[in-house]
Amino acid sequence: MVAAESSDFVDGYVARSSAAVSKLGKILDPMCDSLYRSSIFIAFVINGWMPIWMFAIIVWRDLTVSYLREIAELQSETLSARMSGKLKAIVQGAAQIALVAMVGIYGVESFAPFSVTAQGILLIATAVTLYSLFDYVGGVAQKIMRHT
Amino acid sequence: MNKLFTTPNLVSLGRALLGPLVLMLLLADSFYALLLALVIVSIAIASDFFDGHLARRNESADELGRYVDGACDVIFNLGVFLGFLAIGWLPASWFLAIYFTEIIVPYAGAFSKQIGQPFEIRWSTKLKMVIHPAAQFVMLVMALTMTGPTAAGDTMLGIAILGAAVLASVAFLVDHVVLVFLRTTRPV
Repeated sequence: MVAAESSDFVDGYVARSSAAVSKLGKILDPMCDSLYRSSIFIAFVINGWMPIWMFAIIVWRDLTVSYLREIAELQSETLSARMSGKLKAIVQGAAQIALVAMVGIYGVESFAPFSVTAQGILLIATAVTLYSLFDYVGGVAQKIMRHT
Repeated sequence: MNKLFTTPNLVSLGRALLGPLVLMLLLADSFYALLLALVIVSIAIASDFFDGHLARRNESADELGRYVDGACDVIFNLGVFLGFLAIGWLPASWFLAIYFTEIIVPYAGAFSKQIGQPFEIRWSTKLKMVIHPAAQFVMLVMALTMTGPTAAGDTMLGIAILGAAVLASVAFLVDHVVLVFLRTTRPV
């Protein structure tokens, strides 16, 4: 998981430093982030570490942003990554690593998924995800309003 | 001109907000909650026909409306499928197949638009738009009338219905990804 999260920084850096930034790369990077983190979160849900409503917020945020990207293209504007999206990626990645580290420290049997610390970590990740959802919706709505 | 707050778009946005409601009702685990979930799914299906009809009648049908309608359908449908996942009707791998499709295809659509060849409405989109709501409706009816809430996902009929929904998603994904691949490798 640390390697996967590191690759999120490395791919952008390599693309910029080797002048390999492309339209396809700008699409693939956030899409693969979504697919990777959702897979981890659904495993948390299946293991009973994460309530379904938190996962639902993450699912709806990623779905909405993927459609907003398509809608922004209608106005001939590419939806570039916003600060809230980067913040969400860092917080979600950190939360996933922290939770798995807690399981590693306490052991699967002794790990208390509904402890204040575990739920606090996931709650922060969910809150930042929700903030990112509103930020993207607001950003694209403003773009649409400007065009009408 | 693409306007955001037209009546058909507001109907679509309202439908998207019903998704979380159905999820909560499915989690409530009672007969009446399931019945209410069925009523809401029926309203959502009806509203999907109604907003398109309204847009064409008011001549406010535009490209933005088409995308808003599609996005709201998906947000609602995923709310219902999340509920099916939570109550054990839908295996996690099947949910991921549906969810990944709904993430990948809009990104592919944005890329296709960037290269100047936007997606038109394809057969796989229409197939998915019919099968997903139908599967949700039939599963809820089956749970209310035949099997009870706990067993609905374990019956052969339940597995076949949800399997059809997953296959419709896979067909939707493959169709669009192949289209983008062909467009990038053999540009018009």
